[in-house]
Amino acid sequence: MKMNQEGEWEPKIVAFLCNWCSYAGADLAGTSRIQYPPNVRVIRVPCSGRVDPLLILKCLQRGADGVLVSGCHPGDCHYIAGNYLARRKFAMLKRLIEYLGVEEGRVQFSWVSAAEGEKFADVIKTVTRRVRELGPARKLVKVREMQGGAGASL
Amino acid sequence: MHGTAGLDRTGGPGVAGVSVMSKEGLAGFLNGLIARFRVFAPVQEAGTTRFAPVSSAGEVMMPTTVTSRPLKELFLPPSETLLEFEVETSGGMVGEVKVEPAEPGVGDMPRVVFGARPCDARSLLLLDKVFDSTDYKDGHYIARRRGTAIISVACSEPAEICFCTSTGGGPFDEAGSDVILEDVGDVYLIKVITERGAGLLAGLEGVVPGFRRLSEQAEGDALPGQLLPLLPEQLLAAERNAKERAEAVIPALVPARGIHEKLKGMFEHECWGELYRKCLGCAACAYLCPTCHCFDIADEAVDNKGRRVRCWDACMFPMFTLHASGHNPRPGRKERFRQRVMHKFSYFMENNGDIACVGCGRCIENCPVNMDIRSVLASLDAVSAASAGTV
Amino acid sequence: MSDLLGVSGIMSGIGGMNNWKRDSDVNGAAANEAADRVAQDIRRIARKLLSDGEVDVFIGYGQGTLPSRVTPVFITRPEDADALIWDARCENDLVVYLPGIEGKAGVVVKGCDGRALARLLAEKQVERDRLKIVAVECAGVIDRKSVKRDGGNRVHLHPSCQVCEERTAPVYDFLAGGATGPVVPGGPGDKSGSRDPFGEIREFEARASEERWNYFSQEFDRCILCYACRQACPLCYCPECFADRATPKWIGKDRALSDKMVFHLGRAIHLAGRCIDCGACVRACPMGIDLRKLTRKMEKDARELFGYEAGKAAAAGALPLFASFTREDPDDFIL
Ligand code: SF4
Ligand code: SF4
Ligand code: SF4
Ligand code: SF4
Ligand code: FES
Repeated sequence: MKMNQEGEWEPKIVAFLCNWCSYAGADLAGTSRIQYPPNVRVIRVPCSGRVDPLLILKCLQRGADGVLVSGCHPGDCHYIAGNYLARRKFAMLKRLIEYLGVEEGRVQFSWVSAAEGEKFADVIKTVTRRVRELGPARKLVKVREMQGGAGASL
Repeated sequence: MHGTAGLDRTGGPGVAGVSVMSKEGLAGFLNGLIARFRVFAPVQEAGTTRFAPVSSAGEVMMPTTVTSRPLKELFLPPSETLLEFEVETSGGMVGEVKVEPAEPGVGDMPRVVFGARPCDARSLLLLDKVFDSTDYKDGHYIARRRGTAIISVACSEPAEICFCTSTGGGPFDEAGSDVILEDVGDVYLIKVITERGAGLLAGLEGVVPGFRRLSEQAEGDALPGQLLPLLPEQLLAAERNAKERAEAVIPALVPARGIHEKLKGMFEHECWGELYRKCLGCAACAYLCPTCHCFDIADEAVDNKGRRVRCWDACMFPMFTLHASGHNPRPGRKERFRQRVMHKFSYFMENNGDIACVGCGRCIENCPVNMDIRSVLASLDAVSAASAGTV
Repeated sequence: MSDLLGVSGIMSGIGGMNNWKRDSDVNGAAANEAADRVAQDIRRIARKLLSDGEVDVFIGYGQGTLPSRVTPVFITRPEDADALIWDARCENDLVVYLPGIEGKAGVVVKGCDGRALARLLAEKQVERDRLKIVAVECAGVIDRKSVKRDGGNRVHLHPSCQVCEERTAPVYDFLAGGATGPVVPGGPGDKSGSRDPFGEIREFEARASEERWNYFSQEFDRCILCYACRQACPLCYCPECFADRATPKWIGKDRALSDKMVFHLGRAIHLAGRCIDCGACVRACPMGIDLRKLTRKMEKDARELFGYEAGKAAAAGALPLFASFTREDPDDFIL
């Protein structure tokens, strides 16, 4: 669990950003000096279609409090249809993990273009606020199980 | 040692070391054990059964068949930590690796298992040959084994999947047990098999109502709740009856023990090509088998800390033999299926002087495609007889 | 060699191989009669296909070694076709054996198995012209595990069959035994909408999130990772499952609950729009885990969100759910 200087919990959020749009959007937010919470760890991907659902599950397993995947707006994908294909996968995945009992809002998706620095900051604010409300991730987290000590129970 | 060699009979035939208990006495007996030891017994878990710690007799499911999960998991858990490590880093440089061997959970000992079936008890003697041999002593396994006493329950009504009589055991087999409890009709007979078993019962006689030594039953006093007096001879006769009745249900017809000689020349036999075909290549058989013991060792690490775990693995999986080069010496399901059969009924015999099967029938019950090890052995036997005739 | 699959002598000495028929069922008598007709026809077709050299192997059902069980058989000689049987115990999805099979094969398929086969054809895992598909108009298979739990007193149809909407394969070469009788309202093959096929999932969805989490935690905690579910599934044909990969390692070797869940979530996602609810995974699971709780959810969502029904007659050859899209796909969850 990540703590800030006051010893309070700070959410850790993994953001998979498409190289052609959201990643550039994040850049723009930065160069435009738009403020947004420092809780995201960015992973640059070639396309939102590259984000295998297993990567999202792995983030949760490894202790991420939230996961965001952000790609190009429909119609704008550099590879024509990567984001349309991703959209189907994510729709199914999001419903599946919430059905399992993982809190709504741990895993989120957005479309942010290279020109939308403002929107990128807003998305990060929304996601961070929501994850902060949910508190530290507990479900599917394995790292903590690992840190919790060793030994078989029998 | 805790093999058959270590069996320490306090009685021999006759009444010494034998007690009698009324059926009503069972709950008191169990609670008496639970008060003194950490007791593991069959419990129900969503339609399946396994050995788990119990805190009162009410939780125990008196077994009618083998538990879904084998007794082996108390000694070889599905996954266990062998050691923990931490890599020291300073200034981006990798420093010393600190290694801390893990305790095999000895703090939890001693344990008493109640309700093992004779086949499961016997399976431990076979596992001993692997993990407690002259060649190799496995600290974790041995600590658990030393710290655990086994109270078996004889099988008065063997199930349709049982074939222990063909594998060297039997529904009233005592091998591997410290104490065995037998349902002989109106009452239980409780037989002490080892010294450790005698120690288990020592504190219960005179405490548990309806539980007393057979030698004190000479006048044939009725047990509480029991109308008729029971003379020791009558009880021993009832035991013989129950045993014969149970054995008659499962005559020793499966060619399991003698087949190793025949299997020697059958590695390349074409029959494997037919026998394996329906096998799906899962490990339902191997994981639930009380004698299958293949494992994998892997590191689970996060950042600079981690642990080395030993976990169940199975020869039915392609990954089990896959080399780093990409070559797989057991490339297909045929080779893997053959391995499981050969290991159990040929190689284990060659290496350890017994077959690695106790006839519990779990693999038969759980195979999704009804691969019945009994018919596999029967086929192999028939095929070898046929080819012997033609040569 | 001819006795390899039967091994009659020894087995009958061990425990009976009596027929397990649906006598206690309301439609028992009629169903048994139809089943016998189907069985005879399967034998006839198999014999013919094998003698004519149309197939090298015929995959069907044979008598098992326990009263409640049948077993897959691989028949290669016409004279062995007599070993083929058909009745309400024929639970296995034989389509699982088809990917990678050599030569030409004949196979017996129920409705669900036929849907699985349709998916394999669409995913180019089997070649149509190497197959002879023998369909059966299915009346449902018995759920032996629940029959056993009930002490053998009542016949239960498998949960998949209780909600089955198409009981005959969407593609086939032969319909063994012809029509076997009208669809029983609320029974296998009923797509009139008289019952909600996803009622059980809807009920489960309505529970509190925490309750669902506790349920799945308990269920998957029992999982021993034997992979019988995966191996029995006709649509889990990957040469290397993600669960077996070492680089990257998706599933830890220490069998933490989290690892087991990631296996089952990953598998469910890989089966989204592909699972055809044959129930083979549930029947295979030795730990009695109701895997359909996940796979049916995927089916329901695929239908609700994308109108996608895997392997159904109307869309048997459709592109996989995750290999297709429309511009109008639901977008409302995206920020
Ligand atoms: S091979 Fe089968 S019958 Fe033999 S001990 Fe293992 S599970 Fe039991
Ligand atoms: S799901 Fe349908 S087709 Fe499949 S076995 Fe059940 S009733 Fe038959
Ligand atoms: S997931 Fe289960 S029900 Fe679905 S196709 Fe595979 S085996 Fe059949
Ligand atoms: S069959 Fe059951 S126990 Fe085996 S891996 Fe699948 S869910 Fe787990
Ligand atoms: S390139 Fe941005 S989503 Fe495909």
